[in-house]
Amino acid sequence: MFYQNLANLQRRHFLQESACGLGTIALADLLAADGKTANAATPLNPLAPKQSHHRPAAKNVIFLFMAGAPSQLDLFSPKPKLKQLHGQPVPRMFLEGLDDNLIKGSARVFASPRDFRKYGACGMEFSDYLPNLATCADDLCMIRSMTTSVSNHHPGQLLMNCGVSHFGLPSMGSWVTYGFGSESRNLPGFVVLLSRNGPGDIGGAALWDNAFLPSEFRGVTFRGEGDPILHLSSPKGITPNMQRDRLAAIIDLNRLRQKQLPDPEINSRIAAYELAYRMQTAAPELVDLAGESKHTLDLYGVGDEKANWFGSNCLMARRMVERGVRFVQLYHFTWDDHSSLNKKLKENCEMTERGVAGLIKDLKQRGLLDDTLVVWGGEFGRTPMNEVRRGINPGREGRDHHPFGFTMLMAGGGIKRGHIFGSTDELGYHAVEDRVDVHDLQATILHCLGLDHTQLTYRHKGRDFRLTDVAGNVIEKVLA
Amino acid sequence: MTTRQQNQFTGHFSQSNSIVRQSLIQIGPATPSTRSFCSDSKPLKSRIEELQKRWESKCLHAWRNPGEDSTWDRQWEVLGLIWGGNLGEGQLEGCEIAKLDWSKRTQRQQDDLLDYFLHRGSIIDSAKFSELKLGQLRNRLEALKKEFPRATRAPTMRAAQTHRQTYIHQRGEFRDRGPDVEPSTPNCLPGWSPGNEDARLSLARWLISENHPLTARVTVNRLWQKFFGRGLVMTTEDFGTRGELPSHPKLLDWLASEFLRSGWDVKALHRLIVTSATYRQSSDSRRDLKTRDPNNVLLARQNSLRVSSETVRDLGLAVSGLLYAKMGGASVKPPQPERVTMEAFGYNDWQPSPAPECYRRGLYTFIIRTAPFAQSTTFDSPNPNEICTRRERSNTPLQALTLLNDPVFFEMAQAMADRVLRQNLKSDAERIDFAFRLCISRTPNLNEKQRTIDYLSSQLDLFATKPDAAKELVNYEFKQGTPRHVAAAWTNLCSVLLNLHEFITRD
Repeated sequence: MFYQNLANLQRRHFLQESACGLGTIALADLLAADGKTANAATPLNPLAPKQSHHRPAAKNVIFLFMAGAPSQLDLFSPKPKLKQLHGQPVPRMFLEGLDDNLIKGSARVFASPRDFRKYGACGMEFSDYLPNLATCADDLCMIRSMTTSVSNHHPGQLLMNCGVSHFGLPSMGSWVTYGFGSESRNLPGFVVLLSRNGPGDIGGAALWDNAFLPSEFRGVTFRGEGDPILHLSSPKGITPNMQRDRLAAIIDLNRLRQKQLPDPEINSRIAAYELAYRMQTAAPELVDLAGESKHTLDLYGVGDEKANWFGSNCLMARRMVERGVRFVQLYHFTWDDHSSLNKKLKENCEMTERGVAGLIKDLKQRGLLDDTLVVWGGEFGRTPMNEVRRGINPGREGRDHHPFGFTMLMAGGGIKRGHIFGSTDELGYHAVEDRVDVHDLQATILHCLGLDHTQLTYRHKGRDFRLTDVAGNVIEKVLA
Repeated sequence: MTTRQQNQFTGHFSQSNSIVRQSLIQIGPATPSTRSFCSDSKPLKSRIEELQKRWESKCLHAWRNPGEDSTWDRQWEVLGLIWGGNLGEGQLEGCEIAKLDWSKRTQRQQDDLLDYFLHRGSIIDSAKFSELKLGQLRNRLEALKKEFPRATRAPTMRAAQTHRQTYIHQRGEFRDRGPDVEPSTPNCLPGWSPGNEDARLSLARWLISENHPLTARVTVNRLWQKFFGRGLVMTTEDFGTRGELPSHPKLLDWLASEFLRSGWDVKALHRLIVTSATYRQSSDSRRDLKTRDPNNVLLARQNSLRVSSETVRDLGLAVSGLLYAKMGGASVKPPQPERVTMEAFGYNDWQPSPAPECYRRGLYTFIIRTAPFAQSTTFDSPNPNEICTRRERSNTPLQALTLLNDPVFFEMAQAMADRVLRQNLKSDAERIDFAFRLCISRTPNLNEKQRTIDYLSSQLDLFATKPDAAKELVNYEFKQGTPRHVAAAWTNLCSVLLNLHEFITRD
């Protein structure tokens, strides 16, 4: 009897003691619906929002990575000169001093089979493959003078994401969450969403790697079916109640240990378990699109046979920034059209452009576009010539990788709207006016988030590393 | 370094060279069954040779005249690209063989090119290919290859016979050649000159010479770091001007000299460290130390350390009794969701190794560089593409999700529950003591014990009243006669213990 009383007493005592354990879980359940953190950084949460270097124009980034490299010449950059020279060798003047073994001199100039039109008040040109995106012209900033220094997929994607063309350095999303934290309490700060439309050219986990930054800043891949996050669902047979009781027992025992050995790491462990538990509730809610209206679903192409995957991911991206996720990166990776470009480009556009347009319109109508920077583009562009690698069967032409001039799109927080920036020569071979290097783009993205790319550094192996290595200039002319 | 290393393929272990010959012999004109292969009197072998020669000459023509015929350009390109795809070696080797005159080829080279031709040469004359039924021959070849062990080749290195001149490249530009350089070492270190000896061997001797001040220090410092979480020189990767100064310089020197004196005996050094009073201290912190030495640089106490990703896995396997302690051999693929490797460059499937291989230590887990094993990444395994002397230790919700929900860890919980229940113990209280000792090498204190008993009884009650829930949960084969609700309740309890901070921490 006495023992029983003692036990009860002790239990009550420790329920009070462990108020931060059990109590927080219950509280967290209630708060999970909103999910944005109100207060500032605590030492327990390295992902808590941080002070940026200057006033940020945008709070979140949605980077729509078009891996494989879409053809700028068939989507954004009409070049009448190509029609004139169609089928002829590239004039020598364009090839002088070139040092790129993927650009083969034997290829012939290849005019785009697409039709272009001007859209919006700004008169931005789009090809007929982008009917939906074209209607966003006045919200977009089109950079036509992108250049990169590598011309194969994996190195190019690494350069675009990590600032160098080899693996082992942190990705942009990792740098951003490291420097700026995240506003989401219940979700990771840096999320990656992958299309699943067959094998393509994607560099893999190195593209969202934290490298030497602490692993809290690593990109977490989400998927739209099954577990959105790895091991998010409880083991088979563990009901939500059982999971809650299991968590409570773990946290209580950890807290009792903490009383014996006051180690701050134990507090962090408890906080991590609480966040894990909140994620178990928040993530399924996030990926459940049931609450979205028919109009919204249609806007993104959700339910459409072709547009469904990417459209759903775009919609998910909006739901994430709504919930405070700092950096969302979407990958669509089947743009590598070495052959049958005309046909395959159409398919890729049908799969993606409705989602992109839907995202921009939806963000805008919800007032989120002012806070969110949307970036669209691949690791490089495609050649003004056809490709001879697999034969020149009429109608089955492709284009090769092209690093010297390509197009990227930006929209939203901190960026001019309805603006066309830079240009390539009359063949679309080289960027000539207002050239933008990959590091310039990265510096600009960080700038929009209030981060100075020269100040956002991490000491590793005896020196300060940064996303832009030793290069990069903010593109002042595209800033709003 | 001017020594040039060359890849040299030593030994031809492949069976495949004999396979083609064998098939040719088997289906040669002598056997009645192969008469059907040959409609005219010429032996099959010479007819294939004829065809192969035509194919080779078209390939070589494309090589000499690029851009003339894109189909054959591609044929030549592919010969270079996919050659040796099964071996992981020897790209471009096919092109090199094709360039050789037939009389100059080794039998092995000839066989390899013939193998390749049978797979990809039909472009030369597909009608002839079907007439000679080479498709069938190729299928038999594939079948035979499956029967024989796969070819392996061992790349080795040897010093080049000729001295290669090396230059400074101005500002790293490889086309901008500066002055010549000769092998040497930094001035602050003892002098070195290869003399007549092989430069690599000589460099190795220099590195471990008694008057080299760094090798032993750097090595003992890394070992120290393993035991204390921090090296005597914190920057284990950098003893140079940008590195930190040692916290205990004399200790570092003494350990280095002991290490040298023992003849570089690593085990002896381990013993020296772990039997020291410093190592055996408690990690409990005194209040005054928090202000005087917050980072515990002076080691007035031991440090608490989250164990490495491999050890997290090993611990779970060990306490559950699932661990398969086989040493050495090929890497294994423990189960993980396939999506992890599907995210890699080029799509890799992940076929989990069968038991007991899948229960081997974390050390043996196969690494796909672009998509490493998820549990390793989650628990801070470093990027496998570059060297690492110091691992980070983070504390993330993804780690919690792994220990809570990863089916691998839940299986460990079940196996551990079975192990606990198999012990000849009288009461649940004794079983709880045993389970605690298994996991954290101590028995629970009164509060911990009470909380654990409470949890166990709540789970026993739950599963006793809901037998279906127990059935749903338990998928491990417990000792015969174990009531299912007991198995389920103990599974949950063991899973709690496997999730304790203390379980994955070296205090």
